[in-house]
Amino acid sequence: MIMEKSELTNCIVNLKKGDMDYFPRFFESTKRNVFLSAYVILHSKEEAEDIVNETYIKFLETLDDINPNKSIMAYLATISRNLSLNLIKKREREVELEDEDTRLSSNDDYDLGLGVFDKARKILPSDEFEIILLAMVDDLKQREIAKIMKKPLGTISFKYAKAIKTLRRELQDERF
Amino acid sequence: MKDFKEKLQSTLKEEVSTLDIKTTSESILSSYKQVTPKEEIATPWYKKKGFFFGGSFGLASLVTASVIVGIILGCKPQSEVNPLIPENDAVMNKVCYELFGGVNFVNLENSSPMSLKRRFSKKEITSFDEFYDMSNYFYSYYDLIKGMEEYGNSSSFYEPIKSDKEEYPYCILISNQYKCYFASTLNKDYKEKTKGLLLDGDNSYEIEITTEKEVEEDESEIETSIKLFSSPNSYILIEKEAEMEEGENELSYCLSEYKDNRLLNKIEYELESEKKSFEVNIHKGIEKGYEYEFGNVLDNILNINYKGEEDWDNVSFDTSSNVFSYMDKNFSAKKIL
Repeated sequence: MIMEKSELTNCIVNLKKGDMDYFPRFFESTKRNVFLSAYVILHSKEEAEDIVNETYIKFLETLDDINPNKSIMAYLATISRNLSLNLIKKREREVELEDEDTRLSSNDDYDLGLGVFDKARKILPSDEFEIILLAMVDDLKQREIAKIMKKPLGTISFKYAKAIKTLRRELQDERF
Repeated sequence: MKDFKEKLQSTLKEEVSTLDIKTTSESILSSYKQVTPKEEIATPWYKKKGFFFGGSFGLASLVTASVIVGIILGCKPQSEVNPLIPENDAVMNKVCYELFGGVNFVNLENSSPMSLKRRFSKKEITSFDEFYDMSNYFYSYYDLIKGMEEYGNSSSFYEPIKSDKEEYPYCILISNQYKCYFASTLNKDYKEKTKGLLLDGDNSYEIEITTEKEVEEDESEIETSIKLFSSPNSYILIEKEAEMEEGENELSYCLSEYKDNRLLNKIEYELESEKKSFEVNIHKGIEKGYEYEFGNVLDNILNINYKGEEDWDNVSFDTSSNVFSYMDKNFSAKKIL
């Protein structure tokens, strides 16, 4: 069950005090978001799981530096994303994240078995899909997304609006 | 549109909540408690200097957006009884699109890292790293401008809302973020000035708008001048000219920052629909007697020139292959990926 922001903040405060009893609930509430931040870059469920593990370890290691009043979801997304990108670099695999024409493979092997989610992934370029996830699933503001993705705020705004427009057109027959 | 977004968000969240993640909190805690080498830890983004938003410079762009909406309003006479602005008006959409782009243009400037801004305080570029950073700075503008052109202007960036201020009968919400009021419409073919108010959270800023519009059979020209005041002598001045003639569009845009009536920085941008080229000039450190002038994009090649104390240097960026080519002062080419 996803916690409210105030509950998340309370978790962070207690984790910073060393009370690890708060970690399981915090993890359950945020793990899917972290997973998706990695999945959208790596296209692999297994590798995304590895990144989930690494992300939370890094999170725990940097607890002292974390400000509980800042967006923890943005922080987790940043860690997950950076770890994923590092993994790609290590493998010397080129992923054209800057290219608007890049699309996640339409190969159904990448499907997670989620209806609209999988359709959206196939419809949108990877960067637009990532923006949609960060905005709609992680509830991040466009400014936060711009920082995470290291893109200008204006670019994020345009890509988000374009993605919504595309999804509205392509999913108009979808029953929500 | 709002209904679709809400349904989409609800559906995505519901689907994601069913994701089965094999990693457990126990395994993570177990790994964490083991003795591991201290690795280099990434500085949380919010602790990094430079990610600073806000301030009058950034808000000026929002003012631009509201002002341009004012122009749109001027195209359709508003009823005194019902001052609401129609939704999805084609003309208003077009202007709001350009306005929104202008808003983000200035937000981009305001969000540049402080470390990069400090580079502009130096009289000349003394290292390749500095030059590379500044080239990326310019490229971020190109990225925004490219996005503006490619996205087009068919989506709605504004939402008319009812004004709750008697002195400002017109009100819009720009991109679900910024509320802007204005006193009157700009629907006459002569120079007139209108005033408005921009709200950003608890802050409010007075705005002053002057517009002039000329419409003939096959061409039209709109000139807009906006001032956003952070104090009586400190303001942002935005000047925009849009010419439309027989299907050809030309846009020129200039944003100047004044502090205590002194010009500090200026950004100029031109776009011609026929030539599909951009020219962006960014003038920094004007007070100190030097400036950096950046170049243009043509045929997918972004050319950047900068002038420090004396010489001009040049870097080009091939957008089709994401390769920087850098010509140093000895005119030797270097490729940077």
